[in-house]
Amino acid sequence: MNTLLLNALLDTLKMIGFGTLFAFILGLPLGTLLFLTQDQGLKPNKVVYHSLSTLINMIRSIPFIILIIALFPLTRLIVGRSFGVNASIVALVIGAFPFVARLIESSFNGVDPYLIKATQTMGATPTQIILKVVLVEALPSLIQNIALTMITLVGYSAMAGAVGGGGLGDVAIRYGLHRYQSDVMIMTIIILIALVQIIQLCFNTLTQAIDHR
Amino acid sequence: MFKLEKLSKSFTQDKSTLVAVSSVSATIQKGEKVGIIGLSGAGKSTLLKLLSMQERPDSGSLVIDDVDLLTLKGKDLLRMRKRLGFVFQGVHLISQKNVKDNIAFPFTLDKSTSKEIDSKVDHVLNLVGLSDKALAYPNTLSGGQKQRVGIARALITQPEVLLCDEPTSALDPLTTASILQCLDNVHAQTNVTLLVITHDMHVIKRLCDRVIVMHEGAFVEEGKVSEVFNSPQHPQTRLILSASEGR
Repeated sequence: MNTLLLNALLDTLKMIGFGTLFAFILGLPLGTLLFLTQDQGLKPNKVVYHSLSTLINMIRSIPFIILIIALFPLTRLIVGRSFGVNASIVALVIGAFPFVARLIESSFNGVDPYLIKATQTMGATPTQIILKVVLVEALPSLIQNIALTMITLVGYSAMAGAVGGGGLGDVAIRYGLHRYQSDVMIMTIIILIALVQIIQLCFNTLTQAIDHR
Repeated sequence: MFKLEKLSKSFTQDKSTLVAVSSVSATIQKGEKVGIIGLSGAGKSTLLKLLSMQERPDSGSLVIDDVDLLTLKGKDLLRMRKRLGFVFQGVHLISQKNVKDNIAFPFTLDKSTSKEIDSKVDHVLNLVGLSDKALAYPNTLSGGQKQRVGIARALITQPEVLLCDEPTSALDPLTTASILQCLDNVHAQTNVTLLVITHDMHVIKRLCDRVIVMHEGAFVEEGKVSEVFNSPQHPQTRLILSASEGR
């Protein structure tokens, strides 16, 4: 049972790690674009903002378990098959990046708008404002949002497990549910709880260490 | 020399036009200390937006050393923008950067060697009397200290004109006095032109040589502070004075 759970845990960590990484690689530019093009933004553009916003809402309105299944053809195209850890990562990224884009947008909107105005007055361009002011000011909140995304992906990865995606969710369903091995089920739950606690603790400590507010 | 030439700005909403700034002109000599006073709605905020180039005027020009800022673009504009330093009412520092990096911020907007920046930051910190706070973060500073950092940040580009927007209205009387003293010291040591926009006549009395009274978008009276405040000519000036003195 130990090897089984250990391998499943490693798979889950891989899904959460790469899932979060790629969701941020897609979500950060998208969230920045939302921030820039909103009505009060540095480069207001109704068409861009509302198109992106609608696309994000559309993906977010699909329950994740259904999204994974609907994405099977796409995952097969990208990683060659529709089951296993790599296939799950594709689905996790697609499910999470719209969520990340919204988190980024809201983190950036938390930056003092008068500070942004002040730096504009000093002659800062929108690019400089994003790189030298907004990202710097929003950093603690961005780090908190990485934790939030990882924890959301812990849940999502378990759902991916339900349809053959690998990881702890997969083990819990195959052994705990189908084979009535309650001990495996309970161990999976304990590991998941510990995982979430550790993620939150690490990121809280990190935020406190770098936040000067 | 800093010149405002027939600056005008109006806003149109629902077919009605509001003239916020109406053909205002002023010539301010290098090293002068000038205050613009007006009550709420006089057009001070719009004037400030025009001076900080957040809004373009409908007509008029903004001239520093014979260069009209409003005709400039890109790098030339950025270079000339540095001739104007801004002190904001709410200071607005970057909370995640220390005092030194906040002050150096205007420099990071174009290329400059870090050695130069260090000595310049030391210099302006000295001017505002905060030499020991270079590595402190804004959340550890008092309101008055933050405003001093704001003044230092405005001075870092060695501006021709220091434009102060209600620099003390967020501060208590004691801190206000120390900030005004600080601005006075800065002026004595650098001979920077001070242009203070405020609703508070005490700030102008304490700091300025010359005052311009703004009302309904126009400059309605101007002159030496002592003369204008002792024998006000325009009804609006009298209103401001009597309101401030509680009569």
